[in-house]
Amino acid sequence: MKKPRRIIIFSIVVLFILLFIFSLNKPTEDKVKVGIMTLTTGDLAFLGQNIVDSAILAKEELGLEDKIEFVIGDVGRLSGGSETISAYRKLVDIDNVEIIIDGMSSDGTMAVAPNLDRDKVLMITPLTGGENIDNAADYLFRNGPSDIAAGKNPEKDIYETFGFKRVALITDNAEYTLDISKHFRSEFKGEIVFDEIITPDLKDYRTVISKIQSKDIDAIVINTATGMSAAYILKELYEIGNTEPIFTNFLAFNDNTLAIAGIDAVEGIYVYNPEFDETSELTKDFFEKYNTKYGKNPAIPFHSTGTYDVVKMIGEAIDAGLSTGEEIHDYLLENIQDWQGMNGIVSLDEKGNAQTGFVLRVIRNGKVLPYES
Amino acid sequence: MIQAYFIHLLILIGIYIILAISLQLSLGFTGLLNIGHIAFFAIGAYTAALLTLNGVPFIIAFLLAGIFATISGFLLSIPTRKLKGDYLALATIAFTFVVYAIALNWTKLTRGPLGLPGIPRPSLFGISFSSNFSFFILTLIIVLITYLIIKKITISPFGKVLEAIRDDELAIKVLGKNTFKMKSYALAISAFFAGIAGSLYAHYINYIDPSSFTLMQLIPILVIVIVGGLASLRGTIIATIVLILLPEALRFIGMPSAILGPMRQIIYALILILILIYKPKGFYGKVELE
Repeated sequence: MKKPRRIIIFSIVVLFILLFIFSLNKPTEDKVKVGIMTLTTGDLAFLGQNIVDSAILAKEELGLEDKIEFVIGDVGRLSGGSETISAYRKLVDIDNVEIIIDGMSSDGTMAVAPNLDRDKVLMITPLTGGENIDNAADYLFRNGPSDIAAGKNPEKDIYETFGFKRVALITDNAEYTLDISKHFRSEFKGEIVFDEIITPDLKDYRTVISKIQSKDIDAIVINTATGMSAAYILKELYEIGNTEPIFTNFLAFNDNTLAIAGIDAVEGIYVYNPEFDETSELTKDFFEKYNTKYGKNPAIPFHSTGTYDVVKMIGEAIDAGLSTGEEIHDYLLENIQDWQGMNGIVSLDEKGNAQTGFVLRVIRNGKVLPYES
Repeated sequence: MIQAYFIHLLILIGIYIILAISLQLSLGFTGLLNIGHIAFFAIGAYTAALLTLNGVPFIIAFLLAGIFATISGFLLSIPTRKLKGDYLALATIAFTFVVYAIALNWTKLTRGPLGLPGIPRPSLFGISFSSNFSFFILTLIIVLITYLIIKKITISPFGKVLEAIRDDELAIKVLGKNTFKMKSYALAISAFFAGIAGSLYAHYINYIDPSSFTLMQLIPILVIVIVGGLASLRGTIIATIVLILLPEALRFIGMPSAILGPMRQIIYALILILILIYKPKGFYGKVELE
């Protein structure tokens, strides 16, 4: 073996061994290790960072600094697949984590799910989840709202409150939005006269929009998984002078949407936001402290409130003298009933899923405001 | 518990060895710039997953995963028979996009972005491979068989013809050899092993969706082949071990989460650049990367 090759291989093996030994020799403190599995790079890294930031702030606010130690499980740019499982195995096998806060997209959650029951590791997702996630594992809890509600709540408002009978439905070809639209279709009492699944994150949806123009519709429902598709659809609808009311979900409206589509294109659109207690002093205070600490507002506010609630739940279980995944799993199932959190009153069902819903909001001057009929 | 983490890494190394040495057969030994390898991996994974989820025994699903990938490889070789170099790469990239689009959009079969959850762990002749350790043993056996078969091929007269096609296809044609047939066989065999690697992957992760089979996922495998050295099975195995362990080692560096991901990628890329500067042919490469 020639010298450079030998040096390279030897260095990498030594690096791995040293880092491994270093991690084992870290002083162990009397804290419960809680993993946060999250995306750290790529388009969705801001979502993962929001979860991490919120968890750290929640720990400080709840006085849990001596009780909880966070360990980051970095799933890189994409969750799902072998990278996610490696991050999970490192958390569980090396860091001895038995409770994980899930800051991944659903493909990552689904990839990890089969391992949770085997390892008795409790993973709680403050993000939304649908049928896929809800039934994926006994040790997978969800305290965010369900995709089922994300489909049903708009259906009720659009048909009953607004009286719109004929709608066009545009859906991103993504796990989250397909699930929402599936429930919307099954519940909607009116007629869906246009129904198209689109490729996410393109910059030109004029073909789809021109097809909608030829239909006689009362409203347009847009379900996109990130703000990118929605931003361009809204921009292009505005450019052709669309006057039909637009309904969309919380992921479709963020700072990016505003920057791409412009303030006029988003004026008056209806947005379904996950329900959380945004009027409470606790929430306002938490968001203010978040802004002071990180110099920005939470990217997705309900992810922050949901993460706060997860940290609080875990803290309560630790205060009850519990530390293992199995103990905390049983404790939360029993005790998180009509439980007051930042997301409002939360109850976990027998599968560990919360039954919260979505509320209607309207965009005025680039701001998300409560809808008042 | 520490062993469990290492067993997991060994399983991944095993799956990637099968994938990389099978790519080595078409790319390193035959000179086919095949960017469609991840598509064969996907075909194997989806075939095995769909069949076992519908009650087909593991061994049949496993073999059919390889056979379906083989057929795909053979069929791909027909329209691309006159292409080489960059043009072949473009055509095989297109094949990857086609397979990805099918996985994403044929929702009745593949469930599209919802993916296929609950793929069972293998069971063979009454032996269940449900634990990670037993799965590792199964993977190790398949890696050994794959290595021996591909090694045998590369040292056989057929393998020598493949290398000759890589070096000077026109000369081989002049000698009366049917190079199209040879290249088709090489691509089909390469696809077979990518298919069985896909099958192992699906049964190990228990869940697959289209995002696991994009062009991005091919990059680490191509890097393994290049760093290991073209036409070197020994180099490919060493490169697989090094390149799977390297990003894992970087997990142990304590960094704030905001810079953790980008820093890991930067360090990983830097090390790769250094390897390629000091060993441009890779660890044991026999031919120059053109």
